[in-house]
Amino acid sequence: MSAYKDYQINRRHLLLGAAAFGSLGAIAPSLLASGAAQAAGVTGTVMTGSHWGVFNAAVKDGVWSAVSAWDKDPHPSAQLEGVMDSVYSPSRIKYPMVRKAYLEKGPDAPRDDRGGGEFVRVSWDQALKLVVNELKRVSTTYGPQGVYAGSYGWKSSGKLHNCQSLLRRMLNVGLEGKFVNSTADYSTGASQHMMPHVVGTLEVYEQQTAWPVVVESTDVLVFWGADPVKTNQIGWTVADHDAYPYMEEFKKTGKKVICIDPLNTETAKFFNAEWVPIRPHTDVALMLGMAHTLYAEKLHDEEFLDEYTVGFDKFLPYLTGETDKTPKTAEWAAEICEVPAAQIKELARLFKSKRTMLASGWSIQRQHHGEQSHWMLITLASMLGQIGLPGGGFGLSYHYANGGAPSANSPVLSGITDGGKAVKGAAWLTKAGAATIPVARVVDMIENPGKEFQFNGKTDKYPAVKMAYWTGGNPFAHHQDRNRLVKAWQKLETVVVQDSQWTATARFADIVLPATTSYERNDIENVGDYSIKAMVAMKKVIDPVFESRSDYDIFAEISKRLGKEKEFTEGKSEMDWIKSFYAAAEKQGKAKKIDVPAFDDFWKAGVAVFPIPEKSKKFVRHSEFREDPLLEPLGTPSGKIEIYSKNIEKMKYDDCGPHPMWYEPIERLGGPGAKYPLHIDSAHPQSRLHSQLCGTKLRAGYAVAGREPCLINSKDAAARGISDGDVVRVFNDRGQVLAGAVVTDDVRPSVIRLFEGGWYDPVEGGKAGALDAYGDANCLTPDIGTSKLAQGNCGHTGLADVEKFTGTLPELKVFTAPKGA
Amino acid sequence: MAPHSSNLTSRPLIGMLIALILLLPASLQAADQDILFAATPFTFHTGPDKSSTKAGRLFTAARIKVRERRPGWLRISLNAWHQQGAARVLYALPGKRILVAILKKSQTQHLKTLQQMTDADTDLVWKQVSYEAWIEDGGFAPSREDLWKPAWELFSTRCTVCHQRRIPHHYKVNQWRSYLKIMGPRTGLPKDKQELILTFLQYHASDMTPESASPPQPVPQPREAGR
Repeated sequence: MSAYKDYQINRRHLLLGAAAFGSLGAIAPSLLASGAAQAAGVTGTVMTGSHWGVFNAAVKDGVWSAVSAWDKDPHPSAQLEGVMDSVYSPSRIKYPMVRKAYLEKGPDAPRDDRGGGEFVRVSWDQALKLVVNELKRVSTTYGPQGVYAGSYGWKSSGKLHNCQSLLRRMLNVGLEGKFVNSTADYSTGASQHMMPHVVGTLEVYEQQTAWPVVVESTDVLVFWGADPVKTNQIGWTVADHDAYPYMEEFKKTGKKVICIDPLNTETAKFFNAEWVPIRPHTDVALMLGMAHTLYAEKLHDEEFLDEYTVGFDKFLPYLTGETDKTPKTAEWAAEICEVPAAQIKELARLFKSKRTMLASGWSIQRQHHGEQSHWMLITLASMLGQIGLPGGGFGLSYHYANGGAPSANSPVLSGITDGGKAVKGAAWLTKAGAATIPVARVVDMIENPGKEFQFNGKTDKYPAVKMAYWTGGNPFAHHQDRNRLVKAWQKLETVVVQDSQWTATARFADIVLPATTSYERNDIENVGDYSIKAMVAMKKVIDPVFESRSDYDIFAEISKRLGKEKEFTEGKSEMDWIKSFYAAAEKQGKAKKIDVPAFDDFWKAGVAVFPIPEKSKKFVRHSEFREDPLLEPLGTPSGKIEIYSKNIEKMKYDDCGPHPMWYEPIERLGGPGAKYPLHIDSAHPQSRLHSQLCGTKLRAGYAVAGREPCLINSKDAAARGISDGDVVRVFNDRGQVLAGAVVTDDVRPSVIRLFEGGWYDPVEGGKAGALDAYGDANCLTPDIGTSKLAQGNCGHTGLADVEKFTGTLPELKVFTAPKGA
Repeated sequence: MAPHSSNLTSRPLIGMLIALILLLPASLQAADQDILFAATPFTFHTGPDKSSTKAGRLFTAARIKVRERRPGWLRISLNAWHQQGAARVLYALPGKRILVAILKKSQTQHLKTLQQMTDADTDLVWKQVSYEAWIEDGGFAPSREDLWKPAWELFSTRCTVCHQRRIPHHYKVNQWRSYLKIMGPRTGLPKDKQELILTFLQYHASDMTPESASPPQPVPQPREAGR
């Protein structure tokens, strides 16, 4: 049994982690001493919060020494140990640093060693001088589109130290808003643009039919490319984990759960679900096969289609093959998706005969032509006719941030704004080029200034960006086609990264600013993205370690140097801001007749929990629409579900037609001209938040031979002479990574699973094509848009091969500070 | 060629109507002191009296014409559109769901139909109607521009807290309505403020004519022709 299978950190791993820590010699003790020196004698317990939930931090002599879950957390995440370790891990950024060549020659310095060169420690004053001078120089030389601040990623929780809003605030007040922004995200790029055309709204970030209704009314619960037991550990604000007790309850009912997934997931195991090991990237074909079955057997709900949807009549000739001579029968689908035709038909009949909830994840839309997946899912759900009924229909957010957990009657905290209200003629209003780009096209933008691109019916031009300021994110983890990124990054004259960790992105910067973690500053946040059941005081646990400063302080200082301190701070300190957000919540409380404690009482107690009304427990998504489609129309042109979209028809895109269709992706298992034999499943990790905490001791609980685990089916392993625990090389034309083999039949044949978010660790930093020593899945995935419509990323597209690695194992460098730091 | 003309030429009727309704010269609007825009939501009454029957609700940014003035009260009329079969919900334009008013069921008998059209894209039948009611005086703006200033302030401060700024003309009128249904409550603002943000975004959506938006600075510029 491989280490991967044991998520619990045992004592041995702790010791191993400590040994690695100690091997850094003088650095480690001084880190601890630094904390102690600044908060001498402080001992006690502090409650705070993070993406992983509310927790208690024990502090001894100014050093954070232990972590334990909040007693009201129904299902604490096992990652809390890693959260604590992120403060003291050897990958922590301690001082302001500048790339050696850049310090010597400035923006004219050769850039080909960016990502590989040495760093030099500088003073805060010197680092900020460099940053401010560059912001001025770039915007003066290149105009309002020189600076890219579409900085994206899972910044830390907290309403004040929202580093991305603060970055844009600094640029809005200090640089007259001269920067290029980004729109959307890497999670739901395709669906968040497609769903508005189909159902008039986002769907992916909206409350689901409440879990108590699902427990009560759903007969068949289908998780389609979704693994909520794994992914609900985290939340965008502070995770509540409220879905877990309901998942337990559902399990106890003994009702049927089906997981359609290339992997036997944590969720499948938890529910003892029926596993349908679909061939990846073929979900639309499977849905079409089911839809054809329903139609052929006259099981489709004609009344629902007539009353609540438009365009089924225009989709039908495609389904039956009238338009393309290819009826989308179960047999046709079976050829593509490798689910037997008989089973496809059975599933279709089952979904029709029982109250069925189709709960889909986002993996099936993070793929080439990903726009089609949820469009077709909703078309299928419309044919089943259960949308808007208790426990039926579809849901696109059960796996995210505990979607479906009933909402409390609570105030919503406001937060720091981006300062854009004061900007006149802001860059995002200029006409020279796009002032905002679809976030995943960032490399295409850097490579091709002035190039036209299509996006959701519009044509725009890429701006000519010369400088990037990145904070609260790690594009060298979340962006696809790492080697293309490495090359494109060399076109930037200056890169500033502000972070607490030496991520791969920080290593590819010229100027690195050390930010505090959430636990070294005060903040405030709501608990539960959907339940909003509490407000938590995110109290400072320890003083900032080494020379790190809070994001607010860093950007306030830069604004000051740009002559706009007052505009940035509005004369408020950290606690002033927190109190102002709280005061607004108190005001809402009064209006909504909610009992909100006085600030001092709240801050002392650490948390204020609000009641969950019975009404929330009965919430049924789209029930209002179902009840009265005329008074409660959807936000589509027709006010109904659009199986055929005139708006999309008008776009005339060759890669996204007016009704859902099966499109061959650039590559897939069994697809035409597939060059490599294995599909890479790059799902969200079990023991990280994307790439966060990869640098912590949690890694010891899952790494295999020190590398990111790569799950491989026993047949595929045997064919390649690979044994459990071997180091393997995963490769294709785009890149090559090392990983640790985990031989298991929990992954179906011809699929390997390499979680996304493993830290990129090139053997030769800055060199495109270099072997990645740790196992960053996005070295292997393609950097293309899902289609002209959404331009989402395709992180779940990609084929590769695997071989046993027999060369000399390269050392891992990414988990300790780079040379000179 | 005017922006959006490609949309409009395929639907000449809508194009003509938009021109009629929204392209009134600003000078004319300014001159006509009886044309006003609701700065807050209002309750319709059947008479100039608080104890009279409540007839429905008028929404922020709706355009009304004053027909009669009494102390503290106005008898107003409005023109708006409803989808055939749903006469209670009145919108500013056919097919574009910018709320103007929601009426009590019993009030729909007092609607006067002015004309009807079929939207070629959706085959939905839309009726333009006029309606009269009493509302309490106060809380009006002489133009929508006066409303967009506070709306912009709310949008730019409240809608950048959790995500990057969205660009109003990247989304359609009807899509904004659904977004705000979900995102509005997440701002923690009172309902009328959420509705103000919504109306602002709808009037600046990709499928509105630049003339209808008539933005003050700083707000998004009309889209470039051909985009």
